[in-house]
Amino acid sequence: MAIPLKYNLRNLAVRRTTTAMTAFSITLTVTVFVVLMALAQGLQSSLTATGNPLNLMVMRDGSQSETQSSVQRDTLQTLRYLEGIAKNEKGEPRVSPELVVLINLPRRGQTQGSNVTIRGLGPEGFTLRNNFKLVEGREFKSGLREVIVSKRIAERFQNCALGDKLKFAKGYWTVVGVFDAGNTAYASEIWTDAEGLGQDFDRDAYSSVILRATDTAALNRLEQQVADDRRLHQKAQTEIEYYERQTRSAGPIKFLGIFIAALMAVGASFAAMNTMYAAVARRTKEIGALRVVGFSRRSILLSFIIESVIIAAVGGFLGCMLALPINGVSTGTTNFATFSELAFSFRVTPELLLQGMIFSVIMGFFGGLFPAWRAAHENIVTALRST
Amino acid sequence: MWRLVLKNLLRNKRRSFLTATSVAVSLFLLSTLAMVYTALGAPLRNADNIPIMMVRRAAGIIFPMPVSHGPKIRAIPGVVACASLSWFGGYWKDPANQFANFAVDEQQIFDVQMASTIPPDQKEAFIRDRTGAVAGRRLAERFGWKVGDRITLLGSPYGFNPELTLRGIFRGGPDDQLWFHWEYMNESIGRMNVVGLYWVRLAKPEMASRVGQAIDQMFRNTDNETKTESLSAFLLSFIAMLGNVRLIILMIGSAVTFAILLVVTNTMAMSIRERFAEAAVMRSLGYRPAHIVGLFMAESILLTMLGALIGIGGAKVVFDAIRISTVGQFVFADMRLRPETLVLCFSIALGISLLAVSLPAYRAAKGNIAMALRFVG
Repeated sequence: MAIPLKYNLRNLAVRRTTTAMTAFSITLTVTVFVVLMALAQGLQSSLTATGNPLNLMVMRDGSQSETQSSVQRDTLQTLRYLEGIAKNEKGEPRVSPELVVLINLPRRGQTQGSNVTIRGLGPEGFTLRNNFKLVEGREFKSGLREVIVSKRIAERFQNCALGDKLKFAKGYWTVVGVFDAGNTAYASEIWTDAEGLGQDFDRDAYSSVILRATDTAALNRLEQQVADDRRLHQKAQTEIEYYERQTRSAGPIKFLGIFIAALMAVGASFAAMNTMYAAVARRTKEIGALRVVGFSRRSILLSFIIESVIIAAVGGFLGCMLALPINGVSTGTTNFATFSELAFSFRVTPELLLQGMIFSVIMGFFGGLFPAWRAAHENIVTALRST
Repeated sequence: MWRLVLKNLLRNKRRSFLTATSVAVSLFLLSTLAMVYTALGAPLRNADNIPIMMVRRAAGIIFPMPVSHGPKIRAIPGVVACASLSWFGGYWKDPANQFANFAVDEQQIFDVQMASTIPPDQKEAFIRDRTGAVAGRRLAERFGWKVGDRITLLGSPYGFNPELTLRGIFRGGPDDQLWFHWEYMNESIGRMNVVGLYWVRLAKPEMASRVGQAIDQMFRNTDNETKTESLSAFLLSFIAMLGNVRLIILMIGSAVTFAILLVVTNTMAMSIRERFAEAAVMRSLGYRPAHIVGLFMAESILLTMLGALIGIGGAKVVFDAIRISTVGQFVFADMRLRPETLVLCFSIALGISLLAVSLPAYRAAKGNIAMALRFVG
């Protein structure tokens, strides 16, 4: 028969201070774990959320990122007339030649800056992205040195608000609009027209060409056609693949999160162990009594483990609550795959909270195991005689 | 008195052990965090004594600058040597074999990068061979390269695959890099005559600000304005790209500190509570409250400092042994537990031990003796 849970709860209530201190050290551990994982999660999901499943990205064969790639103008003409590309209302292929350059912009409140992606789009560029929404101002006009800036960049960098002027290439560019691109990599970019940007930077070639396929079958055929045409020296991959490959930059953060959480967990579960040993020592007589009444060793073992797990779970729950407000807070780092700024938000997902809870329960279990073992193996007679 | 402190600590050996271990592990973590934090704030120690500056395009490091800048920079008084460095971005055999490779000014690179040493005959052979290359010792070890090996770099954004012969292996400095002739690259990519950045060596470190201003002044209002900065400022600009890492480390560090405080407070509170009656007995024997507080305090300090010694000392030993700075590469080239970081960590430990014991010790030392004697825990 199991010892009623009420017994454990009352005991915890009697030793409020110790219980609270132990629980809180577990809270801190879980908070740090969830926050770091939310950071990695945010970075990862902003990359996996980018790209349309029917979009193909053509880049120079062997280049790892758009900034390293170049696609000549005559290649664009070949690509435009490949079979399987979707057409717009006017019957033109839905193809966007794009030029990507990086400029160094100072962050707000800092003198040091970071590389921000400026993307020049072809006329079809907007319609190829699904998450794009203009929230302020208007779209840029070609050839007038006008740009639109994503909301996150506008918030985080100097001279990027509506109406501001940015100096790069051969002159000043006016910010005429602010756009929202959801939680994608585009939300870290500045957009303008490809032709104007190319002229200002003296670039003849494009960085990449985006193609919209009519359907999945056409997508695979297009990919094959680009690969088969040896004159092109180009490689086509889906946008999804391209951005997914960059998610490995979240790896070090995850590793760090686990490393720090593991070390903190040792500290926290030792604290739990201390608390539980003290609890067992103080209740030796009670344990003897429980045994005399007929509770088995197993029920005693279970009861003390449960008590420890309750402390840890309360701490874990608090930890999750404490980490929750970080959800949606925006931050940014350099994506070393493209060498440019990637702005994203912390993402606390339900799975992450569940992991945090499981983590706390594990700490509680290990903290309680040895003291509970000891409690279960007290000699009844000596236990009863103890003070 | 000291014997009493020691005896009390040993009374509950398991508790003391658990607490000390918990403190040790947490302080190991804390000193690791502190090490990274200081390395991010000041990547180089004695940065003011390093007579090296970097010249890059004001528009950003990814923009190249004309090679004609070189002779002009060299002509500025105070400049001893000046070598160009252009990031090439190739890999060896397999895209997984990524490493830093640069096209450099072969004549001057070893005059600027004086931390790297190479046997004179190997240096001579490198300079003479147009397709020659030199690799750092660590890089050569990683790929098992020997002098005379043929190395072809693939996958560079320049779209050209240099076929190089390894002419030498250098030690010290950025020894995870490979350098080859800039001329070779320039000829092969259509004589664009541009370089990535210039490393400048000064006659004296004190000249830094004057020479830096002179260089930037010379190219002001041209199409290729420059930004000249010290090596440590250059590294800091890279670190800034990582985003606000220091703030995150600071937050984690405070969480860890607070967690240690909770653990030690909990232990001290438990052990003092068990000896409430004992403290009352001592007081009735004539010990003053100050004695009793001092006794508990000594106990807390001894316990925490033991943990600190194992944790922080352990971190120092481990990071020195694996030479963490070589793992860090480039930006973290000078990462190690510096003396000031050690002092900081020990001070935090001391602060924790005092804070943790103060309230329970005070409660045990003050208050009504008669009540305390009746206290049953």
